[in-house]
Amino acid sequence: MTHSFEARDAMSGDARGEPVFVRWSGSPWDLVGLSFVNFFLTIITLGIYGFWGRTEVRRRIWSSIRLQDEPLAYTGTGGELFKGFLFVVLVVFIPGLLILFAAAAIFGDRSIAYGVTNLAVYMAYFLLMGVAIYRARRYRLTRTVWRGIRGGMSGSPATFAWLWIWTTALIPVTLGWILPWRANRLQAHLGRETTFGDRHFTYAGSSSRLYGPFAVLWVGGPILVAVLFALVAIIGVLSVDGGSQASMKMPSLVQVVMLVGIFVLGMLALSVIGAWYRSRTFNLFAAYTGFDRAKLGLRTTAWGLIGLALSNFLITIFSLGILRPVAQARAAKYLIDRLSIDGTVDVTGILQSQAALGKGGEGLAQMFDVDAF
Amino acid sequence: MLSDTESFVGRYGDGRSAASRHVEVFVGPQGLEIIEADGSGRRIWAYDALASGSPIAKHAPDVLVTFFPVPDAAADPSPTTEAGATLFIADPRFVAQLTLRAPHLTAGRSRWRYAIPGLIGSAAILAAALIIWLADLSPSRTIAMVVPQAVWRSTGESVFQNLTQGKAICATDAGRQALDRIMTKLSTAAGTDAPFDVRVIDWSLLNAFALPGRRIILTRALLEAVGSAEELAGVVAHEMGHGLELHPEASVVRVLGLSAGLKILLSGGGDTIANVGLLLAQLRYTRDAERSADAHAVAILRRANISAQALAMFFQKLKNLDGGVKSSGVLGAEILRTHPSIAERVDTIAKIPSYPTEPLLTDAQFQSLKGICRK
Repeated sequence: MTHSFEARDAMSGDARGEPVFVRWSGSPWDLVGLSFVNFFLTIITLGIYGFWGRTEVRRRIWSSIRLQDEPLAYTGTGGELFKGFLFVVLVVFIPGLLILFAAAAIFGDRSIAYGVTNLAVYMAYFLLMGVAIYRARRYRLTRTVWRGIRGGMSGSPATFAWLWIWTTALIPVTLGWILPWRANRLQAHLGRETTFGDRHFTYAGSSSRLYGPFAVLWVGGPILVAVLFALVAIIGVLSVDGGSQASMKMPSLVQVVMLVGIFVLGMLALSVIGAWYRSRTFNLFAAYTGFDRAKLGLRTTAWGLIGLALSNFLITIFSLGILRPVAQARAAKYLIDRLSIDGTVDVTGILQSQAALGKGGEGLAQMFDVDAF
Repeated sequence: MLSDTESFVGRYGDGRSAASRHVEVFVGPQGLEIIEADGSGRRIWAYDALASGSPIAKHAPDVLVTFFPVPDAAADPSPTTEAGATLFIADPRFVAQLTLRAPHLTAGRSRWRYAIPGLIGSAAILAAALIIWLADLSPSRTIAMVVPQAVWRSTGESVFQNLTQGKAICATDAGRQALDRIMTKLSTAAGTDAPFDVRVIDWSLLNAFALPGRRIILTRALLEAVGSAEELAGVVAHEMGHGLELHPEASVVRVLGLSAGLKILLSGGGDTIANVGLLLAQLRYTRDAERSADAHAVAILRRANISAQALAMFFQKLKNLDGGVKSSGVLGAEILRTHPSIAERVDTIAKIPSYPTEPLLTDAQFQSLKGICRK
């Protein structure tokens, strides 16, 4: 039996780098069976299996992502997620509750001291959000492996958490206008600290091209809401009896249909503007991200994101949440199908990272619901 | 030896760099046999040292395996193997052969490996719950007893706010005086160190509630329905019975425990404490809890020289109302009308030997109490 792998190896063994192809393999609907198995096992183990079920879903999703036709591997375990969850419940959640109960018991629930304690506990939780985001990303990257080489994050959660805190504090002060700048700044921080093997990703870009869509969202959103209210008010006035009593009638069927129609159209318009901004953000952030001599390219569209969100919502709702893994895989596939790696990468020169793996799961992130996948 | 086995083309990565190269692979008897493209190196990966990229599903078209040799590699026949090296083979026939040799890589096996500890854990929890139930233990009541009163008072206040949703508190001077008179008598009879805080709410729902922290809520509709001060005293004594037995506090502990459990079941998410008040309002006490509250009520009334028969009369009145009173709001299930059956409760009270009683309020005082919600 002979094989012609010499020729192909010669092509990929170029020392100056090679183009990298990314694609999705299989169908998200392949996860239907797994979804039902996970649901069943989670129920009969009173939820304990959920952590392992989620892990298997991730392993399937990761393995559908192919670089040079070879799969990514997710090496995280359900045990890590479970321990992370227990850690957060025992070390963060329950102590917080106990402190609040103790403060209520000692100072009384209407005292200033109790109010201050309450504020302090919620502030502490708030401060932990940034740490949670960073740790979750680091956990997933260190558990993401391609050709045996794993990803990682080279910085510290505390540095990122500080950036996250002060930029968040400025959101109300700037009436939200810091948001695009902030998103880019946070992404740059995370992007530059992201590693694959012994190499860093690069991130170079500004938020300037985000301000156009953001301005439309910022100005258009309130205007849209105002117009909706005005239309509703007009219909309301029309439904007032013109007679001497000026009493309200029950709105007619036509009016109800009009109100519902206006509401649906308004929500649609708002989500289109929102999706436009989000799509622009995704695409730009990808374009600003580089690795070796390649840049990422992402081509999401507003309509694509809306269609994805809507269809995933329906899939999740009508399956009572059982098919959530399918929805997650569809979201991942949507992105991978539109992702390209433009340029060349010296793949053979990438060596394994010597950084420690770290044992913590992503309990914090789960706790604060910043879990994207 | 290799001639009778099928060969497959795979991509090999050494686990130290991201380079990969083509190799020829055989599903051998001892392990995967890997031959370099130029025929130079030959390594064997024992099946039990393999991990798969994702658990192998049925009809999987390809597989990624990673080699994790046992640390003691003295017996390893191949000195060139490296921990963390990978092999990717895109051939369903290879996948089928591999799963026969290394069934631990299949999805089914790995699922049960992780589900069985979970099953044992949940069986243990169910067994513990069964023991608690059979032995008539009440862990929630034990916890409720340990928690300081100050905590229960603040919990009671927030449940109160949640329950009454800003409805007015009725407190005309004369009405309040009459109510305080009843309360003084009942509290003395109950011999409690911590007094009960009774409030009348301007609410058309006919009901009475015991809240955590020794707080009792009576509604305007209830005051309108009672025919004498003694009937009202009976209802209040019944609610005091719930309070003395820590029934509301134990319910809060149970609700918190259940929602914490639910949180684990759903793996995070959801607001735990915010809805406790509403949940609590919808809870009903068990038959036994109602019986013990009745027993407390009768004992308190007796020591206060108040006729317990009035409570029986009020129960009877509720029974007659039963068809007529429509449930209203989220609190449709009125606590007083629930289990045990009213006939049984009336019966129990009727069997009590008579004791000397004295009038509780003058008619004028009773009328001002009934009108406590009038502005």
